Amino acid sequence: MCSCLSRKEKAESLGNDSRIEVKEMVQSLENPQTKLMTGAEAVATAAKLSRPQVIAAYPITPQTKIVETLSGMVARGEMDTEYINVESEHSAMGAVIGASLAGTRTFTATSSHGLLYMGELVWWAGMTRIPVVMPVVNRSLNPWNIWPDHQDAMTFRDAGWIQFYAKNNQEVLDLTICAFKIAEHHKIWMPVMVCLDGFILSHTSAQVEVPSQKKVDNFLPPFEPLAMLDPDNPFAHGSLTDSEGIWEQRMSLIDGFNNAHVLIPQIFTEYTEKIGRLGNYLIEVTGDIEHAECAVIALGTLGEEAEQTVEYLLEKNIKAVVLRPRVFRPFPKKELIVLINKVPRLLVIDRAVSFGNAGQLAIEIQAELFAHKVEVKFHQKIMGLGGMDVNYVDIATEIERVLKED
Amino acid sequence: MKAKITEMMERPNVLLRGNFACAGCGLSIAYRTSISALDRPIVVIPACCSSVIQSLHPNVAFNVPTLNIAFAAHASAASGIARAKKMRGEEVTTVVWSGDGGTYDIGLATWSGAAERNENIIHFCYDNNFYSNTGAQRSGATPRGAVTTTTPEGKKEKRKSITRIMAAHDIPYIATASIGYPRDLYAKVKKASTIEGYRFILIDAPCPTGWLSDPAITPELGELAVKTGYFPLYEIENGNLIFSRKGEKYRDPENRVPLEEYLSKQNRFKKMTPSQIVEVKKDIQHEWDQLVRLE
Repeated sequence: MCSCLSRKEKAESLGNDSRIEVKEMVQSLENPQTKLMTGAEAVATAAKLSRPQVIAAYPITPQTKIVETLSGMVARGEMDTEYINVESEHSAMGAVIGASLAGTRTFTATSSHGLLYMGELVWWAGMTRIPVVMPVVNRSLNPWNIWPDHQDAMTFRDAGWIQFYAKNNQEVLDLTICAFKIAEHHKIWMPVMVCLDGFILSHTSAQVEVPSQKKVDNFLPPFEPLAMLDPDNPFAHGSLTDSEGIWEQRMSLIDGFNNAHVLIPQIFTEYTEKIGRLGNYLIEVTGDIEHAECAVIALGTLGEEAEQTVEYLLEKNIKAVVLRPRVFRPFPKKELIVLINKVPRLLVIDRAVSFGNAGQLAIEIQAELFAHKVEVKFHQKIMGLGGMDVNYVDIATEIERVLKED
Repeated sequence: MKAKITEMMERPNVLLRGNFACAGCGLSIAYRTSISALDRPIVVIPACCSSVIQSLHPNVAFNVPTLNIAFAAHASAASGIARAKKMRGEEVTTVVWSGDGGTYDIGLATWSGAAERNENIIHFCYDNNFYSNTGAQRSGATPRGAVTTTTPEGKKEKRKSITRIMAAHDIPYIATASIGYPRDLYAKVKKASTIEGYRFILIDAPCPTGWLSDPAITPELGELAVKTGYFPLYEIENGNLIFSRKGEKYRDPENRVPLEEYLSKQNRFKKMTPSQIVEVKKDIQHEWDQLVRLE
């Protein structure tokens, strides 16, 4: 399903001539649609193209370039947006909840401790279904450490938010634009978190193909509120609710996630047709799944790194495949099971831990394996916490260990 | 600015029957008087008595668009509404309607940020001196000597001066008002609604349930708070303090009704010793002295 050239194929096509590679890069830089940008800038660019009407954001805890880049765009008049420089992440989410219910498209961004400080209102937005889009730069939690892992976003996997995990800056941009359409679909109507690994994506420049405003406008129509605070039609939002009311609301949220599961691939397809690249899959498959001895499942950049492992192991005559869920909520259960059924072994790599148990991804996959009585040799590994470097050789070593163990 | 009785009688009915307020509820009077003075209000309510008394979903007794939000998110949510409506080109009055716990304590950062940004919001704090909807726990607004469920022997510290903290933000309009003087309150709300930017109105709202007072004398307690000097009435416009006509004479301690008359009508003060009463009188005078400096 992955159409991109592997590192090895690229090298072959270029005849290992680095001058050609440089020339290609210069050409692509001259192309106005392709830019060199960090993940943070990709987020900001996607936000700008999506025309949010109100942005509220706090720049620190820890700082990313997203908020600064967007404030610059607003200040220069490149965006027609009300920008609220709030005094904390808690207030950032408070402001976008208010702005969304007042009938505008909203956006904020955060990271790590900022997400945790926002926590109460992250749940508020999830439970009361506020269609805000929020990229989260995944970084480790305390003690202070600004390097990547997924502990921050995993803490909120249950909060009623759709969660994407991007593998590169291009996907960051594409998923962020898609996120608005998904959040605001009237059969979904819930917040979306676009997760991108700290530093590896947020602070590292890579080529990103930027769609034209016209194309994005054609994909993403203006915000259409489902319900709006309006003096001509008063109603109360979030008022005191009894058990039956809460039950009804939670059941509707579960339905919303079921709808999202069906609609997200359709919206990805529409994006691919109108803008390009993305593909309609919830799980990216890299490698020959039909003949693989082991499948690696990992999120975000760990998944991308594992793609290199597949090539690396081929040289050693080991066949591996990567299954990278880029949509984590709704959890793509049935898609995963179809894929896992094709492989004899599974290695799940988590970049976060549910302390006292195991990695969250591993726990959730195990539950599905049990539910569907899937016979597969299951292995799990926690890697890369606090930004510990994980390269394709490290992953290969784990796969080799797995193959040796059984 | 003076409120006409006829105008007040013709105001819209913002508080419907079927609300859950206790008998003699001060905040209901404050809400009805204040919100009915506004043009096209959208009201943000954090956790407080007002989030409880507006009735149970799907019923609602507050007859204006209402957003209930987390305790410390009132002014941020209101900022979002105000900016969104500006972006949509809709004329509304964005309101924060918070209790003293939400304003003096847990929501202080969120309103301070909104006040510093001078968001176009009217922030009302109905002050009943404690956390009322959860059964009378101590807040930063609880006066010295008052018994609450978390200060069973009476609070040891004086209450915070929220208006002076607010004044340090140099916002365009601040007022104090009391449900004992509804015309004064109404007029101040009307005046606030003609001003742009962050505006703050602190309303003394007696709570018979928590103050352990007779529900029939709620307005009287409001008046007594002013007449004893306990709750001064004033406005601060662009940094200049003006004492309100109704309460100005109580700046002179000679003109004040003895504090004991106010305290004795509320059982929350029954554990106060004579020396504590002297301390509270000093607290009151200290506040007046500080206010006079802002004149």
